[in-house]
Amino acid sequence: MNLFDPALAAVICVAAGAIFVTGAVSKWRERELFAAAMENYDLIPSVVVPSASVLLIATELAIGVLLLLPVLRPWPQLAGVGLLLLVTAAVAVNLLRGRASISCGCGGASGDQTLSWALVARNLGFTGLLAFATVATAARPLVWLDYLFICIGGLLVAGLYAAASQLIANQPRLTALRDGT
Amino acid sequence: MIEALSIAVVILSVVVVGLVAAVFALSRQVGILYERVAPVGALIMDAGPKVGEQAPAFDLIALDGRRVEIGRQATASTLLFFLSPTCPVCKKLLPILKSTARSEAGWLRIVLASDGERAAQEKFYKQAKLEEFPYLLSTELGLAFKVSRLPHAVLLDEAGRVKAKGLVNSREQLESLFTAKELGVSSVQEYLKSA
Repeated sequence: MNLFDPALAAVICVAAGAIFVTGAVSKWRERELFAAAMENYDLIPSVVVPSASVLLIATELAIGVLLLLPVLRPWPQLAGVGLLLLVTAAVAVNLLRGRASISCGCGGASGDQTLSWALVARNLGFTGLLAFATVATAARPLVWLDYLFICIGGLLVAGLYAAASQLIANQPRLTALRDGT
Repeated sequence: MIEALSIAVVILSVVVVGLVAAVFALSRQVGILYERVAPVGALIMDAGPKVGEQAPAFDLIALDGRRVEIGRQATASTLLFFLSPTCPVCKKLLPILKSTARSEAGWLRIVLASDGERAAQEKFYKQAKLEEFPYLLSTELGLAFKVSRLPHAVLLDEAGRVKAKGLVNSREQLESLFTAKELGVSSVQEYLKSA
């Protein structure tokens, strides 16, 4: 079995597509909160935050939809890697500034959470998978079982990612509960 | 052989989908337990002055120089709203606070309270156009009311007694404080218990 099998890369693409689309949709539904969260990152001037926040949501959605479709590959993967590195750098900069208590604004299935290095690690792991999917381009004729597994496997990886995010989001709440604050 | 393997993979995939869904649901429920979220209404914290008690008295100067008395005899009830410039939910509630200030003008004054760096607070005060509200900067005030999560609201009556309080994330939760005052119960949870 080839490690660079196209089915493996396709599973990652479907998972990333599902994660990006749910992230973009939840950000759009709470776009005021997302813009306010973006302003807290304190990386770009406040006047451009409203338009930049909409641009970021639109970019995330576009990349997510393209990742779900078997077209233009490997460009959607590369764009996804770029977007992930950008937002992860924003999180890391604010962690280094000591501002872990601000809202992540990440959206997605796990809801609101604050910044943490676990979040950076999660994003880097996700970025690594997506980078792998850009180079895994070995060709092989796909059969029905491949297509079924690409769909199910993609949703599985997205589900595991959501569970990991939820556990990361729970962590500060557990600490607060333990400390009795 | 290949057919048997294919069927096995399909069945196993379905089972793993169920397992992942269960893991996500469990982690989510754990998160909700940590939050101890009440089904409806503003969430009551067990710390700080209790509902019905006299609020600690404060005489403070607001950002615009206004003198503000908290916890003393007043002509109107007071809604003390704790917020911060870096709290997204607080910003979402500001338009709701402004409309509440207009619709409840007859009996209610709204006082905003925060703490931290003065320059950032003044910038926020101007940018968010909060001039209609007195804006207090006082760490002691937050400590006295044991504010742990934002946005937090405390409703005081004319005599300075705490009538309702809690974490407020939406218009409904803000209005639940007014309802609690009208009904004379400390929280929606207590009301549901007595009903």
